[in-house]
Amino acid sequence: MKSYHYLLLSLLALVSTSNAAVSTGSLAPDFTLKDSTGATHTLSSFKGKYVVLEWTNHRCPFVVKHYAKGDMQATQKALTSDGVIWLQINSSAPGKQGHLTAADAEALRESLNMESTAMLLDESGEVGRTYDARTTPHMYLISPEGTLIYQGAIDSIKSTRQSDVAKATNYVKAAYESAKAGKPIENATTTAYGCGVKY
Amino acid sequence: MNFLLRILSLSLFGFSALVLQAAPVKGEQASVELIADVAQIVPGESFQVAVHFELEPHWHIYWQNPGSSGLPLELTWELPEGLEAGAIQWPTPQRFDLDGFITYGYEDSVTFMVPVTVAEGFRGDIATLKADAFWLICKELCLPGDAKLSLSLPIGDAYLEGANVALFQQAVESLPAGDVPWELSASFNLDSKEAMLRLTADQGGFLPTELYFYADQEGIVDPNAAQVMSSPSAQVAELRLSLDMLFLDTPADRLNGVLQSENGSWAIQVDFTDHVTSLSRIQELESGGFEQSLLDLGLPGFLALAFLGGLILNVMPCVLPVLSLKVFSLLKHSGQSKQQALAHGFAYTAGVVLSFIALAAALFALRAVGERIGWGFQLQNPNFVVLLVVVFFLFGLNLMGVFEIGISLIGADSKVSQRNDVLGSFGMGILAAVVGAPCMGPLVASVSGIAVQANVATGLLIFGTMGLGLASPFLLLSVFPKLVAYLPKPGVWMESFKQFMGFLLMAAVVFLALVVGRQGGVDAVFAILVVLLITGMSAWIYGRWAAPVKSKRSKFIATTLSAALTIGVSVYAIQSTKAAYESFQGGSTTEDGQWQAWSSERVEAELAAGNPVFIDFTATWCLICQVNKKVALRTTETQTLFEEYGIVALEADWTRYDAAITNELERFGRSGVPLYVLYTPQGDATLLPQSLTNGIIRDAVENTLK
Repeated sequence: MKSYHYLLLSLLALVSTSNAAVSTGSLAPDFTLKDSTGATHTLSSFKGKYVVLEWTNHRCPFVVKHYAKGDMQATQKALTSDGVIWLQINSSAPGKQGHLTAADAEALRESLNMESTAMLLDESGEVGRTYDARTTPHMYLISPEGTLIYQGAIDSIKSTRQSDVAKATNYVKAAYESAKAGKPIENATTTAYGCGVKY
Repeated sequence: MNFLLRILSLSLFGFSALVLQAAPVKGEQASVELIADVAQIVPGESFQVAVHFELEPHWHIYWQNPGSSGLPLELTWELPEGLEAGAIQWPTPQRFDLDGFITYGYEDSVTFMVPVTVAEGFRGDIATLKADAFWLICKELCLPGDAKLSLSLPIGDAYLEGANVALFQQAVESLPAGDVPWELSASFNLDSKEAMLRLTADQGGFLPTELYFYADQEGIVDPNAAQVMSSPSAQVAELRLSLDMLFLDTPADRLNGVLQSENGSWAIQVDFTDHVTSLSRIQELESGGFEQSLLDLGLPGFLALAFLGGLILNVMPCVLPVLSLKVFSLLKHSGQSKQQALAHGFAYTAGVVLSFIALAAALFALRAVGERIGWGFQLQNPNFVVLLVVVFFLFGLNLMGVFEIGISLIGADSKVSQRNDVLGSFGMGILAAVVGAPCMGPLVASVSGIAVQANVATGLLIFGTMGLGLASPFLLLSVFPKLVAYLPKPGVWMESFKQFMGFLLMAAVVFLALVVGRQGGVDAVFAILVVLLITGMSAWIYGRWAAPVKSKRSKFIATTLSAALTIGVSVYAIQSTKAAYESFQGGSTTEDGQWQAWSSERVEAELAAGNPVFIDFTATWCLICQVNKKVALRTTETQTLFEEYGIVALEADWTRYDAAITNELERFGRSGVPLYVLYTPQGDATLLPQSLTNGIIRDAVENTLK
């Protein structure tokens, strides 16, 4: 006979664990967040445009790898100048590594010449957990219809070496180009690499 | 020296490249050293080198699959001609949990061994081995580290033990073992996004505890999801793994990695068996346009189905044992004021709905700790059935007038008795739900399958709505008192009727005794009979000496005595039925005529032999199942039909706890019985309706097997 001892314990566990990942090809969950200038952005208001979500933490060496020599900025510029909405999202909790106030975030955007549409502040981590963002960077591409069409790593070489960026395939760029050309996306789901998001 | 090193390593990345001869490279968070298990290199004889890390407290580095973030150690070798380094031998990792995100790695100290082969013709005095090590080290935050390591060894002609032999011994012990003491198999299901790793022990062999599987590459198993272990039998352990998102796009052929337990860890490689996913087509005969169109609506459709299904349950044989309760609660409405009727209706409804929700919550909770159970699980537990027997028996004796509760001589305290009465309606609702709910009637089968697989909130909502459907006719009666006017007026006949209802409750006790008997054999039935004897006696004592006319002292003694007897005998019966359940070998599957016991292996074997298979998923406590058996499955007509088509008839009896049957039910999107499946030899499955007739079976067989 199986023993039914853990009943209460597991009820508690049930309440606390809710892992809501979004599978590629399904509808991207809507959200509303404030950015570094205090302006409010709602995902669904960008219907009709491609949207990139980039989870970021400027203190994480994997993020530094892509910003130190302007690689991420170049990708941002290439896509935003093509009409893509690029939203950086900072889900670091207050007191944790990479947490930014709106003013600091704005200053960071200036100093690193970031070319994103906006940097959104997700202190509570709610949006990050909804998308199951695990690492910084962790990238998502959403189609004009609002479908999640890519999620995972920024590129194909998992390292913190800046010299690897040039050798790697940039998955986000590749996914966007395939989607725009009406072709199937070759790697629509990859495993993101980087530091853990500091929820 | 140390001061200099600290300055050197104060760069952003914590480490800067250092070249030191065979001495540890020290950084802020780790010191790293290249060591060998020999003191000199012998041509033609391979040896081990190792990169040994000493880490600052709470800092960790990563395994070959880092889990949800991180990077594994990388080594780039620069070796003299004639030496060749192999792959890193990864010690068994441990898990680090950062706010629910799980990574795999090592803390404190870890030794990564690398085998080095030496050519026969290798010559020279001294060989210098160089390695560029690169790693990521994390606590809350992460820092990359690198070091240029080197080690110089003389070349000699005889084996000479190195200075770090103890470290190498430890390193060897920390590797996963190669020979797994169990037979392994693995399968996956893309719909439930789960893989299952099954361990089968030899007769008398042990099963591990605290199992965890580390997939050796990313994108196979979701590192953040809990891995749930269950043990459907003494020889079998099953570990359920949540599949990673990437796996759903590109499924792998096998599980590679490390299986860790309290009893040790093993490197394993198991191919996925394909039959779980290859269940090509499941055709459902019953789900006509109506049910399907509601299912397509999503949650509102599920709820509508659950409500209608619950309503229909009222006229299914399922609820026979509690029929008397229902009739009685109906009659209670007659001759009552509107408020009273309303109070009873709501109390009964609350009892039913709350019981459904409580049962569903218990179901989810137990499933979360690895119990492979489905809807109706409460009647799989003999202890629970014993308690039900006591409650039903006492209820019956009460209706028969053996004893009365809550009637004071003065009769002035009508508020209290009214409140007790409402409480009684609530109790009746509970009993109706607990005993009447476990079968799958029409419409509820698919939706309760969905409910069990859905998230907890949705599941509870669906089952609660089903309870509301079950209770709705009574609620309707109490909300519209005009309907009550059609009920017969109260009178002396009510007393006779009440006593007659007592006999119906006794019939429910007989039914429950049958359930216990199927679970624990004659020993369990004997325990039930003893319970009836002693409970009957205590009811008699209470009725005779605790009646309102008796003295306070008499009442006190009688109440105490009867309570003690009832509780005592219940405890006795629970213990002895439990013992009987555990030792009962007979099994409840009856091998009668053409029907034989189900097992998934048997199904596979018969299909492989080219035979069509019919499976009856049933349970003694499921009355719909029993009715179907009588009117359709065990009739000569069906027997001839099965013989004509060469159909192998198998019975899967779910009366007792049975994880294999629960898993099989879930493959068909169900969480309870009855379920009737007809397989063609090609493996296509047809699901038959919950209510069978000879004609339905004949049509299904002729349509699918012609």
